[in-house]
Amino acid sequence: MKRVGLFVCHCGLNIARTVDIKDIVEKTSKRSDIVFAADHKYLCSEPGQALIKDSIRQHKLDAIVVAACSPAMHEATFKTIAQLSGLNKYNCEIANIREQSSWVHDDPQKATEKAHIIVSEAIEKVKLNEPLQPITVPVTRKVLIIGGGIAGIRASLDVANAGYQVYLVEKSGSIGGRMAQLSETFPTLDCAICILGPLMVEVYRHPNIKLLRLSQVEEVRGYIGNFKVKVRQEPEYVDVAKCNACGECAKVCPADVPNEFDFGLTWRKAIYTPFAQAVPPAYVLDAKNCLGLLPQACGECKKACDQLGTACMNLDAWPQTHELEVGAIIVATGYELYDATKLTEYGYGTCPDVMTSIEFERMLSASGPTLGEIRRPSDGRVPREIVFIQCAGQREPETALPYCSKICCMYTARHAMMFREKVPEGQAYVFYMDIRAGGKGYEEFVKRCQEERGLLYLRGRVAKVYEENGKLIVKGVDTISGKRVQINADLVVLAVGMIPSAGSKELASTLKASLDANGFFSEAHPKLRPLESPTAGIYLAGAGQAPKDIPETVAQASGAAAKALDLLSSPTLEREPTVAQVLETCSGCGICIPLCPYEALTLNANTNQAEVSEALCEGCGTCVASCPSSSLSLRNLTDQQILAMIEAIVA
Amino acid sequence: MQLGLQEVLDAKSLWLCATCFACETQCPRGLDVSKICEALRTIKLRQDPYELNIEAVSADIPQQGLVSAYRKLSSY
Amino acid sequence: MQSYLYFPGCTLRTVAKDYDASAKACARALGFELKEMQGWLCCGAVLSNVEDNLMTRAGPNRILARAQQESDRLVTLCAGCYNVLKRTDLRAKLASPAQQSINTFNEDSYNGRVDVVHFLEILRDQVGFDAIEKAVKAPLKGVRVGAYYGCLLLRPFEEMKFDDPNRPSILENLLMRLGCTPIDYPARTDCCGSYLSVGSSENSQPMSATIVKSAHSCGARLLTVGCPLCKYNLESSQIPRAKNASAEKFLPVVYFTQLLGLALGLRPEELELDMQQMQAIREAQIPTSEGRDRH
Repeated sequence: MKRVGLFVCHCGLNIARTVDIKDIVEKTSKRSDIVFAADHKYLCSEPGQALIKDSIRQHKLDAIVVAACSPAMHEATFKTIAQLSGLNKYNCEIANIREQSSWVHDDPQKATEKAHIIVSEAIEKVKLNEPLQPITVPVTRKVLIIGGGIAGIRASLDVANAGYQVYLVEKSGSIGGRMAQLSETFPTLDCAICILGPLMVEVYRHPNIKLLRLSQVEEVRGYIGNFKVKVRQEPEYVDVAKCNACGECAKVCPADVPNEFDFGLTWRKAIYTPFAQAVPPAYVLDAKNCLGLLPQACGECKKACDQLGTACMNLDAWPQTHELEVGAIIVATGYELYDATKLTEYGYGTCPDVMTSIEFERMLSASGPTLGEIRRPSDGRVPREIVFIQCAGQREPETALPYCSKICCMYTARHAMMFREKVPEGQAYVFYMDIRAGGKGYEEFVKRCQEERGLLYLRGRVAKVYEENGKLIVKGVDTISGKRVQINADLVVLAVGMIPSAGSKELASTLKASLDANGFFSEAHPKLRPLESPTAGIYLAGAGQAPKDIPETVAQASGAAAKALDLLSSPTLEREPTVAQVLETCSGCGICIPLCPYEALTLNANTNQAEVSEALCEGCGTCVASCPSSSLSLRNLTDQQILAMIEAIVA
Repeated sequence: MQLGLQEVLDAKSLWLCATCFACETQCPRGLDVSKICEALRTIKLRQDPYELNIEAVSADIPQQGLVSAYRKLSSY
Repeated sequence: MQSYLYFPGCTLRTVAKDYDASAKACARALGFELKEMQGWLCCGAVLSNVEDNLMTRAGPNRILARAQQESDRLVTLCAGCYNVLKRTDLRAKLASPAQQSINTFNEDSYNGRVDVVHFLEILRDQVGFDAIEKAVKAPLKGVRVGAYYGCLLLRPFEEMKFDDPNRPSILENLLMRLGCTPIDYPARTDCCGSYLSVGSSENSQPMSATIVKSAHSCGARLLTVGCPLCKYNLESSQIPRAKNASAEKFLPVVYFTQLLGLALGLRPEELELDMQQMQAIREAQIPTSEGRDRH
């Protein structure tokens, strides 16, 4: 017979305001199965916990019930103090009389009655609890990082430098992500690829980083510390180790494809290098746009390569599946831009001289479609009057994206400033709602752009953009002067919003990680835990979690790496032992096996009974409910316990 | 109006609204300015009733126009 | 012969007789009938934006209650009537206390059992544009016509759900089947000024004039509409056409049903098209060097 103690918390007034604490303590003390009962204003505080510790010692308690707030809040705390006081921590039960009683009821009498019942239930349960031990599992000390942009690159380097193996999986033919597509970065105006390039090379050369390009995560099984991942890699028609990026193959390729790196503003061949500084520095064969590989329709690229002696092509390559075992996964999948054709009033898609900000960025770039010159896409002339529209399709809960993408005010200032530098006789107008320049040096940067380059900032939105006689008529408003404004522009640039990368939804499903209402990967807590997914073992870095700029991305990537390293710092991990167990009455019918969402049940061929992998089991109870002979039981939540709890309720 | 500024009832722009709903279609927050204009006109008309003066209107104006003008711009 | 219950509205009985006549003629040619409903009355031309102004909903509710006796579908032509009746019906379908009050006030109670549709929806969904194309006897070779939608057919979009409020296409789709070359121009969905032309035409004229100018500069030589007030506003914003003036100076406005009728081989008299309008249509067939086609 266990010596059970009850501790009731006032939780300040949170519980005490509605529930009669004294009554609970008094009536419960009279129970024959209760040795000691006490109350305290704040049980989770130091003095509160000291009370528990001292009482356990004084009254030689071997099980306790803490009647307080939700177990989600402090169960871990109270279990720890129980353990420190010499108890098995599974002999500590929480009776939630706050969220389940005082916070949801007004009538004190009824709330107190209900609290009594909740406490009785917990007492009945704890009386039958077994003193379980946590399950220890080994940790695979390797990390999978999904996404090779600046976030993935930074996280990879941090983990690899700490001495652990990293698998960096990148969808496209090269790492670098969006940052590689930028011309400069604000506020320093560093050349983006110049500061990114060395990091990319470091990743490629690092002995602890295995880079898998043209790869996507196909399947994830297992759990924190023990993930088993299947990564599918597109056929490597080009041997990355042998290719020296000479480009002879591309010279003879007959297939022209719009270059996605330049958003269709330039062309590439079916065999191509994503961009000049691509890592790995090897060409990629785009099988979809190649004239044909099965059967081989052309093969000129391979011929050219063989002739040179490099001979690094194999047109009969197959996709590969890599099976990886890792302990932690970092999601760094980044962003893409909102489809501007949806913003019908701005004419994107029908008027060739309306561009998105990232297309303009490519045009600014020295390696871009115009080698850094600003030209109108329609006739190639240099634009004189250029209009930038901020918040395009953003901060619009009714018509487009409801949120703000954070970076557009900054890059628009940079774009307008670069335009005026390259076209001094031109005029730049920026239609804005607010200027959001919160980062370090950002406000000063925007002011500098405005003042030194004479940019015209108009506070208001643009209602319509349409073409007339070769000009773009921009109809907007300047709310500060209260006047309507019409600008006959040569070029219009839309700052459209950041949305999660394509494939995020499918990846979230594969990882069993959650997405928020806007499709970005959810964090465990928006304030205090922004680097972890609620799914254990999965960490988040970069714009895939929410729109952000490069400094924040790098900070978050290093943070996520630190979290992963924390996980890897010990060779073992403890898992909750409140898992399913198979009783000897199991007849091997197999009904439970396919029902387990975690694939923790198997049929043992020798014993012809079900078997639970305790490490995989999450204790959900689905199998227990399904067993027709009640041969499955949940540790510390057995049928016997549940029946005892029900009796406590109806008594 | 909520701030107690009654001058807004004397604004000329209230009488320029044609109830075309372009504002509501485009507004990122889903506001309907035509509704607000009509509400203010109604308040004003209840204070100062007004009869539309249409002596100069030609005979071939559609009834649709006459009826809607009377309903939107005057007390009836 | 398939028959659809029809609500003409007061304007189509008087100032806009041509719209009514041409629609009925087209219906006959396409093998259906527009049967006028019993006991119809003026719909009130606009719906009040002031939601507690229930009196303005009494009339349209009475219309729908009477229509309910004859059919579960009511076809309209005038964009104003379409807007009023459709939105009245939407509110009735919600069965709110306000609707209860209106039903109590009216002798006939309306409970939302009628679907209000526009003639264009009948043409598209019941007859089908393919069937119409097949029935075309005199294609309007290259007539450069700008379709003008105006406001009431399209907005408020959540209630009307007739076509895309920013880039509608139902009229252009129909006109292409008739052999026309519909012209895309930016002001297709801008307001013509509506009722502001009564008493303060100095406010509505510039609005209509902008639309005409926009259509003309994109190459349109004719405008087509579905609303009598739009027609009036667009025409009166232009300098009246002198007897022999060229189409360069004046953009005539016809109803889309009149163009449909011509394409189906009906005579101008049946469609109440006068000589000036017929000449304009002919002149609109001459290709111009400006403007863009909508494909």
